Amino acid sequence: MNWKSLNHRQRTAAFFFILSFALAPALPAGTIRFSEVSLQYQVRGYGYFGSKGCSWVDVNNDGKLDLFVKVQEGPSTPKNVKDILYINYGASFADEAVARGISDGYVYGTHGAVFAPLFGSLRNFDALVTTTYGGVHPAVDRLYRNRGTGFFEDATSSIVPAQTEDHAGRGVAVGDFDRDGDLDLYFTNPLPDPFDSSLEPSLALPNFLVNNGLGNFTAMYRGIDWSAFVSGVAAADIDGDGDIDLAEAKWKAPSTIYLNDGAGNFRDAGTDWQLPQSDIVTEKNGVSFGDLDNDGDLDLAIVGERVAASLVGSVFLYKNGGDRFVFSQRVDTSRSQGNRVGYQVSFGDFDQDGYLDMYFGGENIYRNDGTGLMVLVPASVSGLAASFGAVDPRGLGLGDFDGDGDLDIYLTDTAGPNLLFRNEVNNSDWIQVEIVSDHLGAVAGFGSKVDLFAAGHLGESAYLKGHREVQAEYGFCGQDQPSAHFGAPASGGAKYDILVRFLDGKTKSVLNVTPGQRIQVAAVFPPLGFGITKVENKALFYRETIFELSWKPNPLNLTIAKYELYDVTEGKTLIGEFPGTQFETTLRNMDKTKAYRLALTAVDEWGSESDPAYSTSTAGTVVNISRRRASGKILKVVK
Amino acid sequence: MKKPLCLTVCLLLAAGLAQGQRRERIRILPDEEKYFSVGLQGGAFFGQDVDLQEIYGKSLPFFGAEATLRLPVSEPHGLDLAVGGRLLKADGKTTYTGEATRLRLTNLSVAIRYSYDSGRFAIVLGPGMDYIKYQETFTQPFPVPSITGNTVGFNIQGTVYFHLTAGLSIKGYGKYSGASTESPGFRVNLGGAEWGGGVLYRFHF
Repeated sequence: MNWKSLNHRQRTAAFFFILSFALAPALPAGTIRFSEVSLQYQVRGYGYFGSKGCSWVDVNNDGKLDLFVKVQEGPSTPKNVKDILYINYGASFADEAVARGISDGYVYGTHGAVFAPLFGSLRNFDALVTTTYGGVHPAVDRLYRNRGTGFFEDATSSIVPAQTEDHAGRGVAVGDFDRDGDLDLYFTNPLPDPFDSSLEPSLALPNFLVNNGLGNFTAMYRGIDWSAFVSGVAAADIDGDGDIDLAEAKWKAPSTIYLNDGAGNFRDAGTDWQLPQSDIVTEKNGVSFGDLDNDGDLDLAIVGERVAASLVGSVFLYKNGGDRFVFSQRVDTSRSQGNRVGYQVSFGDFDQDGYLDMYFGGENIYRNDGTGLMVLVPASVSGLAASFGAVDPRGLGLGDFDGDGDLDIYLTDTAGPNLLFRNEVNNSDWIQVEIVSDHLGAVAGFGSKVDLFAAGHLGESAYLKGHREVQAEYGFCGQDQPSAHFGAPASGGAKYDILVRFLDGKTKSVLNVTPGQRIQVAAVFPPLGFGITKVENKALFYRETIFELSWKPNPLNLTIAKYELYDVTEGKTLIGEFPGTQFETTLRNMDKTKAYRLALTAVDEWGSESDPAYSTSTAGTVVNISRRRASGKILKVVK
Repeated sequence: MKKPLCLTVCLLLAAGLAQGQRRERIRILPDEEKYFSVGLQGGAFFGQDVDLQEIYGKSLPFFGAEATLRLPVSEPHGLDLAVGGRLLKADGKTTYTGEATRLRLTNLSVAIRYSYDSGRFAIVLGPGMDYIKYQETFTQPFPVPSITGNTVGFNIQGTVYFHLTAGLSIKGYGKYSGASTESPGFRVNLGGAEWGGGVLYRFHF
């Protein structure tokens, strides 16, 4: 794209974009300051509104966050509303949902949608887009496969058997719930009319789409009964046992959590964890997690509206006590009566001071005082006055769309224009950790945990500076950028250590990181096809046994700095190291009569070592290859 | 090496011709003739070992020397006592890596042979013993620099001499030897056929 190719509106947007950077000084540490820039970036949604939620995700792998807006037909909107996919062109966005094949034109539109690597190489963000049944059959959820360029093809046929029931889904969740090495999906309200008062209060409906590992999904019931209308859902490791649990916000029923037994079977643990069972807030819409007190576990926020004489939205904060939630704070909306609010909160370190702050969608920002207590930041300070102008705010998402390191906010409004708030903090007190390949080889690493420590104190809880879990959709149909953002004050030359724990329990660390960086992390996978060919090299009076070793690079690895070869026949002895571009070597003068067991690992640039690939040679037998070698290779003589 | 060898051969030829001139005639079959001869010889060794063939080739040239003492028994029959030596050098490559190797085989042999000497020619046939010293050297990165050792074997050989003068003869011979070495896990056969020729000078008693 060049300047001449831009139209007038795009040029104007680009001008303001550049001007804003040029004139924006770094604000003092601890300052929260946003600017509403939705018009500048052309992301206000349809003129007839109807937005329900959003997802920040880079669909076309150009390094810039794109924005998917989930849109539903509403009273004043036309039918057959299409979802929006705003492609980020830096200075502005452009809706290309139709051209890219993901507009999902079900007549009554969409609520929940989640972007996650579901198909193929797992390097791209595919999507599950739910439908909102409104009397027109069929109303089925749709899967979209990303071709790798941000263009999608309908992959709904991957749901086997085909869906026959109409759905009225709201929130959706993604995770490897059964820990079988692929991402499964959870969707809410697998029935056409979740408000039907004649329904049984507890229905065992198939609300999981379980991935068979080949990209086919089967609807299954895994222990989560449908008991009432479910609004938002979030997936996270609530009890810290290493698997992904779920939490749901419901109407006219207690919002609750469901704990995973590790095999993808869930049980309602809301009572055990002391969540309120009385109907405090009639309509609970959103559920969000974040480590508000930097103690290494996820605290909980439930958001809802009290439908009473006055419509009051509230956020209920609960601290995670390891085996229970402890109520810590309630934040009520400060809006005047009549404006609906109470769908979602999001946690982000907006001032980059090291503690998660809270944005109450359609309300204001609350600053974390360092203990997890949220303190209102007046709109006059935060610059979020426009947030109060949202007519019916729904889902929201956090993402660093302008690449300046801080978290920006996109708020959807079903009865007004959507709002984009650009964070103006503009300092270097941040670190972002992007998992480009997790233990499955999947981008984003949903379910992975990322911890930030003071440098030199990796793994020491007293020096934990932030704990994140990479989540997909949460709250109410909102999805943040699929990476971990930390506020990381750089004052005094502070540096940090990063510990990433993948869902399979393996860890990866990056040490001595200077703030102001985006760190890409990839799990390291063992090389493939590691094998030994035993050869006899003859002179007349000497017989040398040679091991020709060969292997192949694992395509799941991004960059490999070296391979390390070990003799693990007895103990573990490092035999040699080879460059990441070398895939064969020769071991000379081996003992023909001895059985060897060799191990080969891949090591990345950070020094993280993969699991070993093993190969064994039997004693005695020799494959006698008489050919002479065409070219010299690195030869290693084992004494 | 070739120049001294040629020079020696020429000297032997000149000496033999000179003695023939001095004695005026070739003594075809003198009674009770005893003579001692020394000579040089060369030829090719055809080893039996397939690895030897693969590494160094099927025919390996050598040169050597021989000394014989003929004791007449009942002319033209007699007994021939022989002592000889042979040096074989060859360059080769290891079978898989193709690294350069060098083989040096040094043979010392003794033999007691039947001799038929017609005065114009002689035929000698009989068994012998070999002492073989071997050395194989390697280049880096072969894991060892060299291997040395020795062994003994037997041989049977037949030789035809043509007397050019009373003091000078040429010969052609064939020899079959058997010898082997045992290394851990494998055996090297150093036996094989050997064909060669030479020139020798005789001293008559």
